[in-house]
Amino acid sequence: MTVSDIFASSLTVVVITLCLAVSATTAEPAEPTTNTTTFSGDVASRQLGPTTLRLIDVSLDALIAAGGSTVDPDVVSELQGGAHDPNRIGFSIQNIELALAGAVDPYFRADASIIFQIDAEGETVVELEEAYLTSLAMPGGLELKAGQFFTEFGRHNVQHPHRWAFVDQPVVASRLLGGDGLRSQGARLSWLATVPWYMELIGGLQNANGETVVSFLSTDELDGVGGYAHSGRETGQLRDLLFNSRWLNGFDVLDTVSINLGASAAAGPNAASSETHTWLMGADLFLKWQPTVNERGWPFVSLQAEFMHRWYDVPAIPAGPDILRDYGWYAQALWGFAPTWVAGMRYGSADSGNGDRSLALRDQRHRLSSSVTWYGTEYTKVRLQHNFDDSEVLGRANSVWVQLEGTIGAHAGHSF
Amino acid sequence: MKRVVVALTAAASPLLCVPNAATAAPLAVVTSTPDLAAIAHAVGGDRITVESIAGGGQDPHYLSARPSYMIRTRRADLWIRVGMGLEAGWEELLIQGSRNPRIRPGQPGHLDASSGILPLDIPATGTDRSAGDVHAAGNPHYWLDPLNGIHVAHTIGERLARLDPAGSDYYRARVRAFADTIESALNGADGWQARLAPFRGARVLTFHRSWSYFLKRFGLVSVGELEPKPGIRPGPGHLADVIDTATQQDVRLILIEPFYDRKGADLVASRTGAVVVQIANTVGGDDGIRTYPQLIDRIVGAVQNALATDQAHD
Repeated sequence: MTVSDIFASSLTVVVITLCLAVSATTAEPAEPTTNTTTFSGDVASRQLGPTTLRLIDVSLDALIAAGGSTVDPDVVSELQGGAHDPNRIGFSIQNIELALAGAVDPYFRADASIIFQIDAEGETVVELEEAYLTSLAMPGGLELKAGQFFTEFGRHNVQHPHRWAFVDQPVVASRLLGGDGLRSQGARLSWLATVPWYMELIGGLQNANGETVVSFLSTDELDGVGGYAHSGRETGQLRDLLFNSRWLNGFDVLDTVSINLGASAAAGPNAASSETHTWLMGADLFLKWQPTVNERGWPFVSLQAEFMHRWYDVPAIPAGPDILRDYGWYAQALWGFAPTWVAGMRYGSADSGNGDRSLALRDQRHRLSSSVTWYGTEYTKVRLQHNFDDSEVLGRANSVWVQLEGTIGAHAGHSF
Repeated sequence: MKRVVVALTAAASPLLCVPNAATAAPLAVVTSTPDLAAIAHAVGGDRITVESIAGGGQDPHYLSARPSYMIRTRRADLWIRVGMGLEAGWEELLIQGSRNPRIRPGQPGHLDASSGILPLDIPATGTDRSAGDVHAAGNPHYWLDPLNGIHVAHTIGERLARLDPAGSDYYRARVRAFADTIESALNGADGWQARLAPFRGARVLTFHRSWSYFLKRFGLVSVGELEPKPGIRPGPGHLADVIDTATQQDVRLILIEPFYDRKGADLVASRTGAVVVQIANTVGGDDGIRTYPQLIDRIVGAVQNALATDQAHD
């Protein structure tokens, strides 16, 4: 275990302990500085005189899928590259997320999500998806986040599966960011700029090794990128960490239209040798139209597109490339055509510029997904989705998936 | 190592850009709804600037955050919310995203305007979400009772005086003027009570249970909602039950906000002879409604016309 592994593990343990301590402690009420009828509908709160002291928000989100495909089960599990995609003929427990959040004190807020899943073999998998502290009182529009978290790269990577507009992740995300998304232990600073539009600048450092850092040091239990074996490289210095940055802009173009434009980059060591590095770059766009007078969010039309490119430096071998290039993009359109109903369409494609293209994760691949979702209330959804997959290596496939979601617990906010 | 040093330096440079707090500048107030903004403007006058996140005619339950919202709250000195769970879907994200520690709950810059309001429609026993999207602390649409409007003005005035002590007398005078305006509009010779007095006891239906405080103040009686449960749209089966109830109870008026689909209300009206009034219950929802007294006046007028018309047909 290296120094940064120990540091990261201790940080994660501290965060979990803080979360548990917050819920177990009989906290002294803060001296009331304001009115006392604050509303709280949460499970773990303390009634203190006329006030409810909100200690910890708890919620459980269950995401369940069922479906089938025209191809064999082992091909299905490769076509569905996301670790939380429905990936088998039959029923999948994609993601049961236990989310805990609360204010620690005037300086920090804590968030954690623990996910339970039953994999294609019927084994229960438990993962610490995210667990981090966020600063509340930094000056100048700054915010520090530290712990285990999804790297802020693009739009899709930070979204938890129950927020996706489709039952599965885009093909390019599975390839370049990994089936679980790009997430790791570290810290990041974000700055909300003092400009007339929404502009955020993010810079972060995270560990580059692990199951969920597939394009970087990764882990020797996973296959290497492009067929290159794992070098067993350890994190020895600061330059062996994953560095990421993101530049996000949001504009309200009209009363009814808003646009987000972002660019992301990530760089770090990779597992191909003790000298080589990976660079990821991405650009993303989100556009939403919604009339100002709308029935619970309907009608609306939204468009989201991302492009990503990876340069994976590999040791020089005769007649082999110096840098593997992989790239891909997706575009999805959603149309809330009637209250509680959303129709969606997503097209994605991924390819590689060089290297061994006979591998399932490097061939040319297209996918067209069509879906219709019924959102009974904010806490529930039922979705029907069809995927048409066309892959050089895996062939063509038609798959149909049905998905059900239900949430109990603290109300989730509506983010844009 | 070099990369990290560069990154840290770049991250630290924004600290040089912290703007100076302007001591003589007006207090920047941001509210969740335009009604609070209208009352805050009436109380604060020239000493404050006011903006509302929700626009007129928008449903304040279901705001999806837009980039410009963060910019508005970023520089706010005072955030005022309706409270009682109305903004539960979006307030926290907005405050956190603004990176403005002054407006966090518990700070002097965070005001819950429901403080001291007597809540209606508190669920009698324990409740859960199978009953729909229930507000466990009671009905948050309290600004529709003009006397609550006066109470909110007092609450806002007190907080403004605390944040800006030099303006205490100014705020106190404006609160008193606002209270006088409302009281005479309510109880005056041709005031709101007088205009709706002939209709006391009239039975009404509402689409969503958002009108309770208005109905109670003016003696109108609600026999139920078109929504089978809060947040669930009415289906044909439930509408048939509603038509039965409305016929039995002689319902004369159906109140519905502009952001709801009025087909169900029109159906019930066609079968029962009730009049549908689709009207905004927030300031700015209809043209020319810029102030709080204008809002109440518009609603009173629409209800009065509808019930008078209905009476004429008896």
